[in-house]
Amino acid sequence: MAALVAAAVAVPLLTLLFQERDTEQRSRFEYLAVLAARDEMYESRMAVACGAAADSIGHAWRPLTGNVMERLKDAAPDLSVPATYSADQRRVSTKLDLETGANPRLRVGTLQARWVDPAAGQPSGDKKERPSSLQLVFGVLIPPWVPPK
Amino acid sequence: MSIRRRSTRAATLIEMIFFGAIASIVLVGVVGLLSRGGRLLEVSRRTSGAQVDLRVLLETLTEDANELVYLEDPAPLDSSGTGEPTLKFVVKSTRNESGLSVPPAPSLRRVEYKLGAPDGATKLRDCTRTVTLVGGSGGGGGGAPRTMARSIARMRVWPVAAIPLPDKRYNLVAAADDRAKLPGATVACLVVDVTVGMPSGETSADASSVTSVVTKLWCRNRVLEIARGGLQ
Repeated sequence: MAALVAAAVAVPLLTLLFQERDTEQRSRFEYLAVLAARDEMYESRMAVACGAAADSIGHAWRPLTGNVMERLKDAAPDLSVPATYSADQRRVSTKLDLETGANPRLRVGTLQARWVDPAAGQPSGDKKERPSSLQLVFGVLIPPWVPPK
Repeated sequence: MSIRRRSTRAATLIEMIFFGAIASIVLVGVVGLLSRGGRLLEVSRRTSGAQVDLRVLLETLTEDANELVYLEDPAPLDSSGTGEPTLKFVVKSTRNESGLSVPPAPSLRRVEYKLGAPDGATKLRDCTRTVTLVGGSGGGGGGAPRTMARSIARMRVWPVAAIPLPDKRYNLVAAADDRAKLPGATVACLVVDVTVGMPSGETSADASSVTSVVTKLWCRNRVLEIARGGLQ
C-alpha cells in the first residue's frame, strides 16, 4: 500500500521535475531568439529611416555573430560600440523576408529567428517535435521623404 | 479493555495523520498538474538563479527603453570601474509600479538603474531600479529601490541617439556626442552587454553558469516616430 502511494506521488513529481529542466534549457535559447527578433524588427525600421532601401534589408539565414552594430554600420559610421555577441547567441540565426502589400509605402516583414539548426536534427527518441524557431510579422514604413517609385 | 480501546484510538489517530499527510502531498501534486501548475513551478524557479535574474533585468529594461523619452545622463554605464555606476532616464508610462501612486493618464517618471558595490568575495554586483515621478505628473510615492538582479558580473550600457541629417535621413551616434543635442535628435536605443555570474547564493564562481547577452533595446516609441517622419 505504502509503495503504491509513494509511486503515485513520486512518478508525476519526477516527470514534472525533468520536464521543467528541459523547458528551462530550451527557453534559455528561445529567449535569446526573442531578443534577436525584437532587435532586428526595430533595427530594420531604423535602417530604412537612416537611408537603406526597404527592399534591400531582407536576408537569408545568418547567425548572430560579430559586433552588435555591424548590421547598422552604414547608419552609424561614427559610432563605435565594443560589444560582440556572446557564444550562446551565435546559436541563434535570423531570416528576414519582405513583401509589398496593398500600400506601396509599406513593406510587410516576416522575421524568423531559430535557435536550433534543422541540420542538427531533433534529439533521438523525442516523440513530439520541439519548437525550434519563432516568427514575427511587422511593417516597415518607407519614410515620407523617400519619393514614390 | 480500556487500555486496548485507548491504543486503538491512538493507532487510528496516527493513521489519520499519516494518510492525511499523503493526501496533502497528492493534492499539491494534482494542483501542480492543473492549469496553474506551470505558474507555480515558474514562481518557485524564480526564487533563485542567475538566468532568471538576467531575464527579469532585460525584460524590465526593455519595457523602460520602449517608453524612454530622454536621457538624464547620456554617458555609458560601465561596471568595470569603481564606484556605483548609474543609468538615469525619463520615461512616459502608464505602467503600475510597486509603491508608486500614479494617475491613470501617462505620467513622466525618472528611472534609475544602479549597480551596487562589488561583493568582496564574488565581485558580483546587485542591480537596483528606482522609479520616481517627475514633478507635475501627479500622483506620489515611489522612490524605493527594487533589486532586479543579484549576480551581475559585468554590465555595460551605451545609449545611442538618432540625429537628423540635412537630407532628412538619420544617423546614429553615441548619445554623449555633441550632435545628439541638435534639434530633432532623439534617443534611439540602448546597447546592452550584460553578464550574470552564478546562481544567487553560491559562494564560488562557476564558469559554466556564466551567461552573457549583448543586444540592442530600442526606444520603440522614438523609433516609430522616426520611421513615420513624425519628428521632422
